Amino acid sequence: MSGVKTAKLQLTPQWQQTLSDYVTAVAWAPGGRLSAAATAAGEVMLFSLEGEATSLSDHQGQAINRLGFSAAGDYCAWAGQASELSVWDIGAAAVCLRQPHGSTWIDTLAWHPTLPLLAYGVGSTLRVWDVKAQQAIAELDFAASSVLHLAWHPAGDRLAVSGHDGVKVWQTDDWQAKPTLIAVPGASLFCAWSADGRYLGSGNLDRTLTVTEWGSPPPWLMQGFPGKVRQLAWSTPNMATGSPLVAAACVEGITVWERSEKPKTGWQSQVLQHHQDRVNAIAFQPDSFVLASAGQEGRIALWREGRKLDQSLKAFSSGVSCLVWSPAGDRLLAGGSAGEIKQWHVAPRARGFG
Amino acid sequence: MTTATAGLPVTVLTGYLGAGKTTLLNRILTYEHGKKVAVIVNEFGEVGIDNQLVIDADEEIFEMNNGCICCTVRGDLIRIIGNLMQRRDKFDHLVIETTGLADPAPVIQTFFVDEDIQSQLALDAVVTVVDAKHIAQHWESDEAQEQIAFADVILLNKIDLVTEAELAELERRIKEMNAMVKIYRTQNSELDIESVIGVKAFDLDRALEVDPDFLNEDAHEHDDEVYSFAIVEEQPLDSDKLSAWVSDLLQTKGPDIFRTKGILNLAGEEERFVFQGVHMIFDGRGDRAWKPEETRRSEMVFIGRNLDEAEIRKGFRACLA
Repeated sequence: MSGVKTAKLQLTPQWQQTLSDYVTAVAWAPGGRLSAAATAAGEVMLFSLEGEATSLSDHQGQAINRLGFSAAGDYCAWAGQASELSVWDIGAAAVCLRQPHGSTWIDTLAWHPTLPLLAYGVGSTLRVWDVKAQQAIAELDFAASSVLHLAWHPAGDRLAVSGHDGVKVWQTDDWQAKPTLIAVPGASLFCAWSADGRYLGSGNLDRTLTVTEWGSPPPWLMQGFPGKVRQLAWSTPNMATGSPLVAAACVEGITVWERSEKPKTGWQSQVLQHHQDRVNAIAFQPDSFVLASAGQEGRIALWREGRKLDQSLKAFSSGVSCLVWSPAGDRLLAGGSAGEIKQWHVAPRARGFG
Repeated sequence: MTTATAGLPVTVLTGYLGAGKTTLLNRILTYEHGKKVAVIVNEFGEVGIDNQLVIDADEEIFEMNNGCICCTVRGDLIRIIGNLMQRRDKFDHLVIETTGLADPAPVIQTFFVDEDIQSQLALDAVVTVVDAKHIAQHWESDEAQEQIAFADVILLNKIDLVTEAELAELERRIKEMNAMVKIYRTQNSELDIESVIGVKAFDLDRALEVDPDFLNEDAHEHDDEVYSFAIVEEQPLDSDKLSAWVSDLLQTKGPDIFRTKGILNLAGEEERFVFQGVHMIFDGRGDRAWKPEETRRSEMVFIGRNLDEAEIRKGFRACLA
């Protein structure tokens, strides 16, 4: 592989395990000492840095689709096919909250960036819980469709919710106020705020990407995608232009957009092609412009400066379904479609030994 | 756009509440025992088989408008099928039961538009259960007409409650709306299950199986707003002219054209060209070579609402090479 010779990053495998089915979600706890994974067979596992596993739950074949740690790293929440939200108290090593919700498959969930607040969608209803106080904070109706994705603003004062017609943004200081609608063509499948909170991106079913600069409408609409835009990722730092990079996963490709230096010309894109099958996940390394991508053909690719292929490695024999960086960006955890889960240590390659 | 033919088979069940849909669903599940069948239901009926996966979903219609395709899809199906397809021990057969008031088009279009679904699943057939006794009350409703017009298979159910003359008239009226449908007379939704599964109605390899009498029919008055007609032509077609005409026709009349299907004899081509369409979505490709003993001729069937048959025939003739 030609990319490997010039690779600037060194990936060292640390541990690998196999769960019983498709890994639907992986997450790192803030602080970076714990990680977790969920599967389509209903397993929820907690891992230490060394790969020591603790089973938190087994939903008897009912898929778990979302998983996440609270901002203080004291809770881990999950939800899925069994129509139930579960929250695990890490200190007490026990489930501290179980909320059943009839027969609706729950596949969205997001923790507040600083407080022990958890938002999740049950059909078209958006629910917000204060997990520490064990009480419901808000119950809102998205109305246009089921809630398809959730993203808290990094400052914690707004919650963006994807669904049919676009992204609705609620203010946390007044949940009852009418949300702001960022209209998109068709439906928004995925929404993400930039780390500085300035931009809100929406990946759309209609093969478009919408980028809104908060407070200065109208949004940009990026077109020309060959399929639905299934996932977005923003780089944490900004480029010289003062804006971060935004990457969008669509079919086998990744498109990286950079805001032009001339403010009126908008955004310029570059397509990153390498994967031979669907790109299932993308994530920028924290505090860098290194982008990791996971392909259904089983490869993980690392891209420097959001555009140059640094290296590509065959991670699993079947697809790579999800991946996540540790908060410090020194580890990468990936899940596979046959239940594989693997952790790598990531460091700049030592000079003179490459 | 291509149609997956190797994917997991999907059966769509439509029909009014009380027509016998759930009875048919339970018959399918009994027949498929030992296989894994996933069922997506929009109104909770009595699905009485253990160990089968039944998922309750609210029907969610999403509008899609990208480039040349303007259509509606079922957002709930995209989401739930996406989740279901992650499992390694996936199901062997998916059945989608729609509400009695559903237009089947968004369900069908979902299978053509969403790339994940299209690459992994294959629509087998739209099966509509018609209550022979009560259909008369609903005959004028859009939903009843759409459910008949989009069907590949119709169970004319509860035949014990009507006379033979009424049945014959019903069949005639259904055939006029949808010349491509296979009709089975049933009581209590009882029939050979192989008539409703493994139909492969959306497989282009089985492009057109139409009653030859219908193909030879001349233009005539129609009883209902929704009707079907066939164009048969031995003179070869100019593929550029045809492509421009079809594209214009679907752009301008797409909402009224429910389904199209056909085999075409293109000038200068040794192979048959086969195609199908649902509203504005169109899927076609070269098929096998014409056999020496075969009469090369184009056969095209349209099903739609208030279609201007004379105008469409004229447009078609303008495409002759």
